[in-house]
Amino acid sequence: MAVLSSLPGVITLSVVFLFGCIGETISEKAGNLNLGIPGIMCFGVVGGTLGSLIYMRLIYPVMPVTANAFGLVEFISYALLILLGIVFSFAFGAIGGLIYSFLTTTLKANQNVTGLAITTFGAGIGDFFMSLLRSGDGFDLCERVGKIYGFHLTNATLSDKGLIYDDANWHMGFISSNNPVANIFSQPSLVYICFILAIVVFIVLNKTRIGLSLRAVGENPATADAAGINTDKYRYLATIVGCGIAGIGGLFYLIKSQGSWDGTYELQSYGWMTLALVIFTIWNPLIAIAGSILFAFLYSIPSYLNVDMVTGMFLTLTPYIVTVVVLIFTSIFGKKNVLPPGSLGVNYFREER
Amino acid sequence: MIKNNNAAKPLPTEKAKKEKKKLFHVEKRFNMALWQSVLVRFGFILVAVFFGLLVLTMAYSKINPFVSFGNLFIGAFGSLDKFLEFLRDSALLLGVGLALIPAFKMKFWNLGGNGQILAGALVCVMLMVELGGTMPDFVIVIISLVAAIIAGAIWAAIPAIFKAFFNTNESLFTLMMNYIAAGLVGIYIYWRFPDESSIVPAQTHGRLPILFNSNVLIILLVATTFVGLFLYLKYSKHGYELSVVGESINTARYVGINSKKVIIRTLILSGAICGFVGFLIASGIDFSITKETTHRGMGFTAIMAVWLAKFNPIISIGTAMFITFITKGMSQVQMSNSRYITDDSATNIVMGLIFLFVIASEFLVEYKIMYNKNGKETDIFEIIGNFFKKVFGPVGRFLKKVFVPVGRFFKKVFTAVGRFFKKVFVAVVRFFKKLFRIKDKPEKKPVKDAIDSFDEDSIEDSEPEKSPSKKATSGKKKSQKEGK
Repeated sequence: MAVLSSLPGVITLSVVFLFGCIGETISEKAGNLNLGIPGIMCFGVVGGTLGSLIYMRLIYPVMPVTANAFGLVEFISYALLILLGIVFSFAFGAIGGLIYSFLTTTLKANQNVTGLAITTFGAGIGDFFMSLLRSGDGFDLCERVGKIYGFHLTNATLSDKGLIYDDANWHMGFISSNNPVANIFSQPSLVYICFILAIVVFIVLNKTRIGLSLRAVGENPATADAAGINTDKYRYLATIVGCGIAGIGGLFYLIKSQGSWDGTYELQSYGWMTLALVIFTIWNPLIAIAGSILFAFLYSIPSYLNVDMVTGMFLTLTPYIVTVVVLIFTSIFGKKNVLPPGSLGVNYFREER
Repeated sequence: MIKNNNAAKPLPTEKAKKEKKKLFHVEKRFNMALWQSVLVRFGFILVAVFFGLLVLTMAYSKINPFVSFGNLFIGAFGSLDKFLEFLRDSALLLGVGLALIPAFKMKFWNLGGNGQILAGALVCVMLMVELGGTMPDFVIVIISLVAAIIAGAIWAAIPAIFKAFFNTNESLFTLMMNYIAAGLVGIYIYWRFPDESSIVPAQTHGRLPILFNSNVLIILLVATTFVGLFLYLKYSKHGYELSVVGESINTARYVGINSKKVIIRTLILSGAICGFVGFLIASGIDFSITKETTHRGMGFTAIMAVWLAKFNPIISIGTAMFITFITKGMSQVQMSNSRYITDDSATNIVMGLIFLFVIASEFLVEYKIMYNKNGKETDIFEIIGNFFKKVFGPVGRFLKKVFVPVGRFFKKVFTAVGRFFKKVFVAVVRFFKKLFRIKDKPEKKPVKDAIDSFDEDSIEDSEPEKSPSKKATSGKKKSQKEGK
């Protein structure tokens, strides 16, 4: 029962991991081991906050979202909120990805070092601009935006009595009901967008020509180059799109915490967890859906179960141990499709041998 | 579709040719003078610091960038204590860097410095807690030193063994080991001290002995390690072997080097030094342990330090000091502006910018950009040089035209003046020589004799010459005589 009641929160947390994991998977499939994901997520938080502040300043006064009536105007307003948040956090994450891929692909800098530098830089940018954006009335705005994001679009269709508004949390629908199964499906709309995105990315990576070229670039750039694929272009695109998606993960972190913010420390640890998740899910976005839920479950279960601190700490440690075990097993018994991309972490310079 | 496209374009070959001719083209650079590379890097660092201060001033207009720049230095050199602390932190960072150098030279991406430090520190603190009071302190120090080194070595050896035998990706593995170590620290704290708000109290037993100041011994110990590792890398067979493995595993195999053995051996060394640093932190500074014992990721910062130094131990002294200087300085900047900056975001921004800019500058050192013009390729540095020549050439020529005649004129004038002055001075010097020779004599001789000889000399010298100066001298002599 404790497990069932924890599931809504677990799924919300898992989406932060999943966004980061999808982004990093795309990037790594193209051969860029982007250790800057924690920093990129911080970029995304700044972008998402900026987007939602713009929404609050420009659109919310014109088209306020009220819980009592949910008509076309509210729907458009809500869609714009989601859209602005996504666009801005994607753009900010993509800027981080652009810096990374410019340094590694064009300037052939070492990927590990560049990633660590991006992480440091992103942490600084995140702390700095969040404290700036949240100073004054920005603080209040962030809280409100965080709560509006918690407005569950799906319940508009799920509930047969129309919309039930929980005043305290801005939660809609079944969240206040006693049906735990229904609670699982009471999620912010970005959750569903994320799951759909994972499936789309899986199809693009594995079933299309673009995906084939991308994987070729990641496996063996020299061969891909000989086959006429523009390796630089693919690496740039993969990293920028991947970082943009990871940036949306930063936005979702803000939604998950309902607009409250206490420094980048927690988000950074989520970012590192994301890197583990990519290995755990053997570079497959479909497995990543299940994997991220498992990781989020292990991460947050101690607060739901009545275990003592030591056991709780050990449970939060298990994701990393499991990742190590997966890493070892894939390297020992690995077939080609479960191994890391062949040139992961190695830059390609055509004139080098 | 493809066929149609081809048909539409009349000359596909020409287009292909055009595409082949890229405007810019990158080549590997094999020779760059040291001063050039240093110039490039420092130029980029300056740009980064400039940008960082720009960000700060833009956001908080009340912060004076020049005052901040001054604070940057106060943070590291403000007082003796601050300076020693700066040296100590640089030494610790250098210590971690030293641990990473052999691994990186072998192209083993050891991102697990944090975990290895934590493993060493954890074991050290455990021994301090458990053995404290049961035996003399120096025994505890020795036992915990050995145990910390072994713990660090084990923590690094686990990924190394899997890398050597199964080619497991080492950067991801070591990264995970960091979190496992941090988790173990948390588990230990909650298990051993569940009541005291889950903090390990500062231990009194088994502390590192104090030499003058609590920081001095740490600095000396790291310096010793530095010398040892430097000799190991430079002069031992092991040091040579690991660089061969780093260059090419196939070459190593061909020469008969057992690369598996080398990988495991080197990582044990690497982890041992990390464990040693963990021991220094736990036993010499904190006397306790938290997940933050690694000073917010010293393992990662050390990677930057040694990478900037191109894995050269001696240069990494400088880079470690530089990074510590910026960290210390920025925390001072933050403290003096604590009203505006509440966290260490400013430090992170400036450090991140410096890292990114230096990484970018590395490209100019490693590669050269060739500019393609009519099939002729030239280095873009040369083009910039030529551009400067073109711009400044005419200016130079003009200045030459103007200044050469002026110079000549001045030369003439000054030589003439010089000659005149020479004449005058020679004359004056001669005059004074005479004056002093006369003056000198009375001092050397007894007073009575002096007066006698004085008269004779003056009469003999002055009479043949008939110049106006003579009268003045004779007058002076007379007055001197009268005085005596």
